[in-house]
Amino acid sequence: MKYTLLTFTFATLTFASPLRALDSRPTNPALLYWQAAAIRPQLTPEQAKEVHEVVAGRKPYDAMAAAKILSDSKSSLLLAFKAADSTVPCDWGMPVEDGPFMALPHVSKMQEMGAVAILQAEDFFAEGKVKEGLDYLLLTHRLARHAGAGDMLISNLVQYAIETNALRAAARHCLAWDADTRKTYAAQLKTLPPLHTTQAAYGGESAFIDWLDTRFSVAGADKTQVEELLNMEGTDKWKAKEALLKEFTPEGVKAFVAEMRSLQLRAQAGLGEAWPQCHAAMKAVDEDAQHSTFYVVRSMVAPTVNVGEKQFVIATLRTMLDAALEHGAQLDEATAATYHDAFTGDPLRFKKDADGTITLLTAQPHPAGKELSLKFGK
Amino acid sequence: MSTPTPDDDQSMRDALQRDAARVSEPAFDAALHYETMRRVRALAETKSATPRWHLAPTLTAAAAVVALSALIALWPHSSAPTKPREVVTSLAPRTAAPRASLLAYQAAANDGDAALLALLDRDASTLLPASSPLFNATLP
Repeated sequence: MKYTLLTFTFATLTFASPLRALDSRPTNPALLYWQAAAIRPQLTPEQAKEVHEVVAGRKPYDAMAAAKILSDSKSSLLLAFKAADSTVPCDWGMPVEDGPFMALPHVSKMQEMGAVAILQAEDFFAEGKVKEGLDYLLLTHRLARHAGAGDMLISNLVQYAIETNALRAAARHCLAWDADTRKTYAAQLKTLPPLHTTQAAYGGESAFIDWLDTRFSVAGADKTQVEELLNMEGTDKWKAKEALLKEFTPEGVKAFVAEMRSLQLRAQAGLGEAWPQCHAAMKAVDEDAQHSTFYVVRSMVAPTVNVGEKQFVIATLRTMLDAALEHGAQLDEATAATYHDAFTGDPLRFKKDADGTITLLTAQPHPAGKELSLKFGK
Repeated sequence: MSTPTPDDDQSMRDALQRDAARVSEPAFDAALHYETMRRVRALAETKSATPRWHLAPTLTAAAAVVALSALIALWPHSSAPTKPREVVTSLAPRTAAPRASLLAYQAAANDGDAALLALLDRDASTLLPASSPLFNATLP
């Protein structure tokens, strides 16, 4: 008996800890997403087009066309669920020290995975399995936030693109859901972590400036990488490249780096403001960058106005969806007007078409010259 | 959010069917393998055993011709004015930006959302390509 007890105690001490560790080991979501991407068969051009058109709402869901895509994606999406559920921060391990040469291969994979997740949600909605469909929409919302991790402007744009697809997909179906389902989904949306802000993402742009600063501000710096950069397709629109190259003296680099940092800080500060101030700040930054005495600044500082609009667009779309989740098919002109856009705080406009679809619109065209709207129903 | 429970049997069936589809190659023939390896090694040994010293005069002559040509080509012409070295001979874009790099995406984003999304679509279908079948083969 004594030996049995001793053996039992020894076995418990030996195996219990590792087993527990295996059970609860938190994994960096980025690693799980990469695994999900690795086991996904590549979409054919026709399949990619199908996913694209359905997710954008330009084509109705076609179960026959989606069947192969979804059966091939099953294991990959299950891994994506594990990634989305992970409680540890998503670290893509981006090599920021590479500046403009930094590799960001995950963003396109996340964009594709988000689209396939929405296609899977569409499949469940078509079968009347609303709860399962919502699971995949929530996966897409989480995936969007993870895509934005790392706070680079490109990651941020991809985050917004994925989130926009998810909001528009929910809008296509939510009028058909009962009140409880709408309320549950609205509550689940509120539990999601906030989207990465454009303001934080703009901070990531300092990677480019740091790259210039650390490599070229010292006497005798090797300019080979600048020459390589100037010979690349991504720099087609950069002007006066010969003159630009001549600005790469130690003094020149220090001066244009200081100017770029100042513009970046102004843009970042502006991105934390309400839309009118944000828009004014972005416009001023763009104008000052274009009037800089340095060709480097004129060429390398990316336009900011369009970037600044994104967070207000997504916030307005979310408000529109919230209104529909709250009121369902009872949504009318008076109720819609109690909700306000994120740009200027104007009441939302309501439009009902003969086919029963409802559209919510901003009072004024936003972004400038474009109509921002969300259509409910198919 | 909850992780959906997969249909275990269906997953297993799918996996088995995938594997079954791959078994179109003939079974591994150990005897053939070792015979082939023996021949490869024998061939390599024969090659390395071949004396190379008889090539020495030919190689020396060829090296001398190359060195002489280079000397003539690079000989400074005293009559010609000294020109500073062109740092960048042509700045017309000719190299593709590294795939999936910040530079490539920024340039696309500057052309608008549609351009960025098109580039992301292209990259999603070409990055992380399938591993070579050589590395999928069963290990000995």
